[in-house]
Amino acid sequence: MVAKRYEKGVSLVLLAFGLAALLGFAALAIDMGNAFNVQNELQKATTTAALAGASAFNPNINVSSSQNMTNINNAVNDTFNLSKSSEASLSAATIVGNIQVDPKSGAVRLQTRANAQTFFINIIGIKTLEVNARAAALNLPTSFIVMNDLFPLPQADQKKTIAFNESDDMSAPQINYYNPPPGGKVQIVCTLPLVNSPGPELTIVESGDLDGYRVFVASDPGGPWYNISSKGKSIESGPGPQPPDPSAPTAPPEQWRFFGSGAFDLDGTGIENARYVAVVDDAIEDGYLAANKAAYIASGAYAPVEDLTIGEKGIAMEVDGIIIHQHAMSITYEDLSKDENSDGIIDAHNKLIGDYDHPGLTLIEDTNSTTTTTP
Amino acid sequence: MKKINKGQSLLEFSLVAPVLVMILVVISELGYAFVVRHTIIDSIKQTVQSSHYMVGKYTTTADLLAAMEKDLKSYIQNHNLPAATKLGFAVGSSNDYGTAVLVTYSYNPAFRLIGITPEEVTIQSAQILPPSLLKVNSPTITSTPSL
Repeated sequence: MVAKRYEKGVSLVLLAFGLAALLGFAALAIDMGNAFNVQNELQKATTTAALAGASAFNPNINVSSSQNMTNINNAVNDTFNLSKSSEASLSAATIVGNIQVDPKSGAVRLQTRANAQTFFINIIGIKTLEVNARAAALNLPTSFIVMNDLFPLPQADQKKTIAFNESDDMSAPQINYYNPPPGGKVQIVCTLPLVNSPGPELTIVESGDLDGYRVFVASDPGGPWYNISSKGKSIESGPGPQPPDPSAPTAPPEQWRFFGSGAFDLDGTGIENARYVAVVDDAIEDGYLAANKAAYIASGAYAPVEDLTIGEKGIAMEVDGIIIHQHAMSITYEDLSKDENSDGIIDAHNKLIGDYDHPGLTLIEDTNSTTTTTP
Repeated sequence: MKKINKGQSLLEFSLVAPVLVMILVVISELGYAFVVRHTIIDSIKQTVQSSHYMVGKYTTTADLLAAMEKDLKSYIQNHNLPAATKLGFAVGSSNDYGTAVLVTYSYNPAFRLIGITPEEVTIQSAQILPPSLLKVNSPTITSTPSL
């Protein structure tokens, strides 16, 4: 081949065209790459927000109450805003539409949107690329000592079961609780720890008579243990937290006891997280009378079993369930609306608790109030 | 072919090649930076978000953060990222429901074009955690030694 005069500089022409194509593809690769990075960041922020929202759900209060909805919305928004302020590429991200909540299970879902800045295709007028993310999470109350495998159900439905079981003489479910001896205890290690957050972290469901017990938490099973009974709130009618002598409510918190079912909050104890929980029967009330009851009450000490005589009822506390709150798990966005067996509980929640229509247990409406015996 | 035209393509290519190579190097470095950023985004999500197993193991926040940082470093190492020239691990802003944990990772690119590509690439990502997971217990109530 003989290069003629007009062929001189052909490489430059080729380069010019080649470069345009090359830069075009580079633009595609780089701007898309960046958009995928921003999407990844947005997905992380969205998943975290959904998990925070589902964690904030408190099954002990009326499930669709405005308090629950406010808590969930605050948790989602606060968490998402913190992601936005911590990550420059998300500074203009928004939550699209409403945060949706499934009132029975506390499942939360949301959609978000952000704009990824462009570098190369900026030249042709495309300044940003829109990226979207969506995420859903399910409240995951971890339960223990659940002889009654209907936990963690929404409280309204737990009540139905308890009402059914209380139709017998003992005023307590016969099979679905753990009944330690007087002064005995239930001690558990939590696979998911108690983590102090807005709202209660721990629920103890105590069926039948309102029996007295003390709730302890610890980071180590060897102690020290901290009595958080005074931080409880009754979730049914009952006296809830009580000082050793009700006429002297200034007793230090380590002497307090709790009666009946309650939700416990670590706020104000200085304990931020704990892995061990113990529920100890107070060995004073509940049908058992200590021989020297007044002295035990005055000192706040536990009565040794030898000092007890059998009372009228002859039972100590009955623990139905110990539930750790403030945890959540990711589910798919579509899971929030899937309910194949139409029992009002989404399938993702059914997978956690088993089928709602459990054989041998018929749910009935709680027409009678629970038996209460004032200690 | 006249003698004078010999090697002209070579000459032209030698003019074009540096520009071409520069563009390719920049593209490949940018592409790699995206991969690194993706890994860093995932690293803090995977390690910090699942750090609740550390609860109760440490008595000071500094020890807790050091343990989290160790997890993060091991994640980065296991994912074959270039050795970090700087690895920052810090606690950012906080509100009722969350505390931001920030990771800053810097590395030297394999190719360097003075004035065009930076000497050091810095990537940052954040993960929000429940605030109490980053705190240690300082009980204000009296303990019971054993049950």
